[in-house]
Amino acid sequence: MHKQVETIQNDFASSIQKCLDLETADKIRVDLLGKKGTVTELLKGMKDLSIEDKKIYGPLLNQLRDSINSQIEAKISQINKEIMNKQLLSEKSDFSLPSQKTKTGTLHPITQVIYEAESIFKELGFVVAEGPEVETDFYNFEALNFPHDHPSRDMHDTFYLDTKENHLLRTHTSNVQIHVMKKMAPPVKVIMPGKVFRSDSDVSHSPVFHQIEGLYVDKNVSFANLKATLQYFTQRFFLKDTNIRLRPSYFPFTEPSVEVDVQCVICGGKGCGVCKQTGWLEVLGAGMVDPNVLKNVNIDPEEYSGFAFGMGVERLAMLKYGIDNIKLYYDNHAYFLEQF
Amino acid sequence: MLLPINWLKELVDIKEEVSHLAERLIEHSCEIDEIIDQKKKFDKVVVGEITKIDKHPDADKLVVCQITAGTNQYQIVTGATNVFVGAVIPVALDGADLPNGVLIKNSKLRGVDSNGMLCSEMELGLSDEAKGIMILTDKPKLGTPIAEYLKMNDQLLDVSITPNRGDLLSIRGLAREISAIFELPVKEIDISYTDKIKHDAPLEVINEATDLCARYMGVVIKGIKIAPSPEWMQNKLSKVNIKPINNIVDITNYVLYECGQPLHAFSYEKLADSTIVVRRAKNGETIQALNDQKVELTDKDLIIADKKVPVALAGIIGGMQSAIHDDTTDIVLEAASFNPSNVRKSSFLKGIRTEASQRFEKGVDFQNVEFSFKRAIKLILEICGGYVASDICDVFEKEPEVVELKLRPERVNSLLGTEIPKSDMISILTRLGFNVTNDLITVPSWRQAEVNREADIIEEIGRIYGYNNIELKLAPITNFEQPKDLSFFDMNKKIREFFTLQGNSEIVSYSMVSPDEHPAIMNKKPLVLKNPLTSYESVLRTNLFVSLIKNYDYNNRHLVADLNTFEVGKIYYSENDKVVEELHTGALFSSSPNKATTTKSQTNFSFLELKGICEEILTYLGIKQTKFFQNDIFEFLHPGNSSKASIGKDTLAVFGEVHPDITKFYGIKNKLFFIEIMPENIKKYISDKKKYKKFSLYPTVRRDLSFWIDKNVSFEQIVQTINKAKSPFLKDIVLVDIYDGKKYGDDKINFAVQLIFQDPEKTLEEETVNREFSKIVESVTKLDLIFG
Repeated sequence: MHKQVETIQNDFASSIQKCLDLETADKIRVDLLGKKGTVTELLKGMKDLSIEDKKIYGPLLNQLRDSINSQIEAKISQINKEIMNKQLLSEKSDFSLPSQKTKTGTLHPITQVIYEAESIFKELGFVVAEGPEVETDFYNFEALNFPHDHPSRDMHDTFYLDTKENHLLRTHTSNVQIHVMKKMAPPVKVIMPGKVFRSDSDVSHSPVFHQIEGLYVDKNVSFANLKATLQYFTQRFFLKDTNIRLRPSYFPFTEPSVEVDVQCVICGGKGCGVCKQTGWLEVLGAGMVDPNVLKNVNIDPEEYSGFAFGMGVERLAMLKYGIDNIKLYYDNHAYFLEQF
Repeated sequence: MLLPINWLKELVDIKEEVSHLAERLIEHSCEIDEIIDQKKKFDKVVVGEITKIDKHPDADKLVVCQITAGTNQYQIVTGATNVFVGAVIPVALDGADLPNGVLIKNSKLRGVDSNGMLCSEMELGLSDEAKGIMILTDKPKLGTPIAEYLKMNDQLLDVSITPNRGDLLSIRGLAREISAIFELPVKEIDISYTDKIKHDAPLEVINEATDLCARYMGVVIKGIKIAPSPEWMQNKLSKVNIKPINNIVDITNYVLYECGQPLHAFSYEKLADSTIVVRRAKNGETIQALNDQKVELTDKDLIIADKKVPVALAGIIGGMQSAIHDDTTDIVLEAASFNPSNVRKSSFLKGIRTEASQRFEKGVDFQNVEFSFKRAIKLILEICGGYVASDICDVFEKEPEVVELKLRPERVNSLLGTEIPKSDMISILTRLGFNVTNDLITVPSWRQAEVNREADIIEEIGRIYGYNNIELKLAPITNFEQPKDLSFFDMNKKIREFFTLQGNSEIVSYSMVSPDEHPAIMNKKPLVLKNPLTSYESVLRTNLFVSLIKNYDYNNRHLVADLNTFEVGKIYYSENDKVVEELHTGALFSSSPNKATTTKSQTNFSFLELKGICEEILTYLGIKQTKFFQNDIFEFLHPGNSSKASIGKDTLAVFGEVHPDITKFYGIKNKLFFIEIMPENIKKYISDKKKYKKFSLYPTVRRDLSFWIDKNVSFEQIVQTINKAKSPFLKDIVLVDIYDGKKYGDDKINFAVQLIFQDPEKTLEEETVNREFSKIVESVTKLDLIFG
């Protein structure tokens, strides 16, 4: 009996080692552990043995059966794993093939700049407001201290509409200042992005462009506050160490008025083609709200003061993304849009 | 305005480098567009003499010249015919970049070395034409840079002046400003002249329009001789691009440039009755202006006239009839102050803008009228001869009131956010010509047009103190009450987010469109521009479709076929004579959202997919109770495959397949789909209130129902009929399939729907489901249908 068990074990060891597929593994199992399998037959023969022999061979045969069983199971699972591996490898993709895109659209760079600017100014407590693009002379000019027949109107080439009230297309977002201040009493701290229009078109001018206007009216608002706000914005929008420079200028609705330059973001102020070798880039106009404007919206300039600023969105986007032609924004070519 | 540094130096002893002067002006006063170095364009051009001329060995029309220019010798080949040995000429050497754009390089001409070029006046930019090389007959020292010889060795600042600084529109004005910045004295211009001959010419000035002419000065000067003005004056005028004409015209231009006051000189002989009348024109009167334009006048125009006819359009342009000619000997000189707004109106209406009108528009200095007038008399007497032949007529009602303002140092500092000592403020103001006594500021005459309020004073102090010297102080960050409309901006952000995630890219378009797009596109009465730049940008868009289809067309023509886009922008129209402006969102689809576009050119997109997008965006924005109706708004959509989503009277969205006529009109071959969303209507129904509803985890049971029904019965009617059974466990009705077979003829269609049952409390029993299903079947049987 011992010998028989040993033979079975040896035969099994060699056949299981050679076994490479599931059919062979199954055949081995049937041959040994099937209904008429060699081990099964031996186990069946147990009943004829003496009690002593049963005590000896019982555990031996059971152990043999279990060992064979677990080895076959292991073999089967190994073969299954190999089969799976082989199949997966056969399904392998060429990862250099072009992907099948799930397309996500892009936001226009003008929108992205407006959103970014809004979020920066929100950090300083500004809220967003909007106003009409089709406007009356009062909101676009008169309330903003542009007298009739005054040379200051020359700075704005205006589109007029054929309407009873002689509407015009707003030439700046400053009209929203008036709408906001007519609706809300100070303190007012708003950021007003939007589309504006000038009847001027050449290489560097588009008849349609966008501005972001800012207004803060409260008690004791100072020019120093204005400067700090603009520096905060430019450093958040451009680079952390971007400096600003202020130059006297003229806008009818602010006094004092300044143009604000930022250190050239292309060359860092050393001088290059973009900044025309000056090291500075003009990005916005600003100033303290003119007392006449405050009076026009029934705010007492003795009690309140304020600052306002306006900047060109296309200009900011140009500096941020290196867009070198204003026409690109409005052509909306697919190859342009997909870059943002 | 051009500021020649040498001219400036006659008035201010400025020693700064020009670049530094420019920097300081930019910092404190005005923009500098350019620093012009006259020498630069004559760099490497020197005076030379021809010492020898040989024939060119290989070219009949060329000669080889030997040139000496001081210590250096050059060989230059030229084709000029007016050269001779001993001629002194301008020589452009290697590296010269001539005013006419020619770059000079050492080279070989037909095999002979040529190390430069002999220049004509044209090549040096001195005249528009030239016959041969410029011969310098006065024989300057050889080797002298030509800029020095031509006295073109000045530097100029191109100063850009804002409308509030009319006082800077002269050399004198800029000198004052620079003196204030650098704390230097200004030298006064000499206006003294001798007037000893007895006045024998009558002159009367009648001002009938004192509201439009604050001051009028006139004088007769007799015995002058018209001739070219002296070289120094011509040089100075040429430098600032004023073309010398004759001594009288040049003097008026010179004084205008020097002092900022426009002057006018006209013939005394032509002045009827020796009388000047300042008056409004009569309607129908005309004047032949000096620019040869016949100007029709109205009673809104101010004119200078004699007793009979207009002599000049006041402050704008003189008349031909009284113009000065070469044989004129007696003239009237005029200096005046005209109403800025009236000059501006007339100048605009007549389309005539002159140096004079531009200055009057900004307002001239009352005191400077007299100063400049005397300056011109002095120059005329000195340059043109003659004598003062009449009394000086000086007509004005009253001197302008002196503007006095209070200095409140604490207010200045509070507005600027500074701590400038009062003494510094007074110093700044004094340097600028203001008088400050006992905190009372008197504004100098030349600033009265623009400085008349405290804010203006604060600006003066701020800019001279230097805006860049003001320290940064961030205002406290306070949160104010948000405007009510705020959700509107968030909504537009969400809309943009939604469409980009669908695969649509945002475009931004002009609001102006052509009135000649396909007629179906204009769905409302558009607003029309009075002064469009072009006819195809002459009306405002009434929907976003027009912008999106035009953009699709543009991209399509540039070979981009698959492009889904959207725009968030305003639309405009006129309704009952009222202007309406609304923010809309439009989206255009040429293919299914989010599908790969790299391999197959066109993925199918359907009307129902678009409806899904419409439902999804509305749900995304928080709208639930939408109903769909027939599209009756946009004619440019396919009448069958289009719809609108509404709540009550408010249309929230219109969508559908683009009408085949439109795609054909634009030469687009594939189907397009479009949706326009009206956020201003949507915002009324948005509610951000969200409430949790209990949901059931018990298993659902599905039953299929399939039937043939008349095509005219809408799916909505079927759903309503199913719902009439009022089954408490019916959770959902899902359309599984529509089959348009011919089994029961052309007018029947087959629907397969799945009914989903669920009990929120327990697992449904088979029996209950059977009962509920029978109820529903019974209910739908009321419709004329055939099961199967």
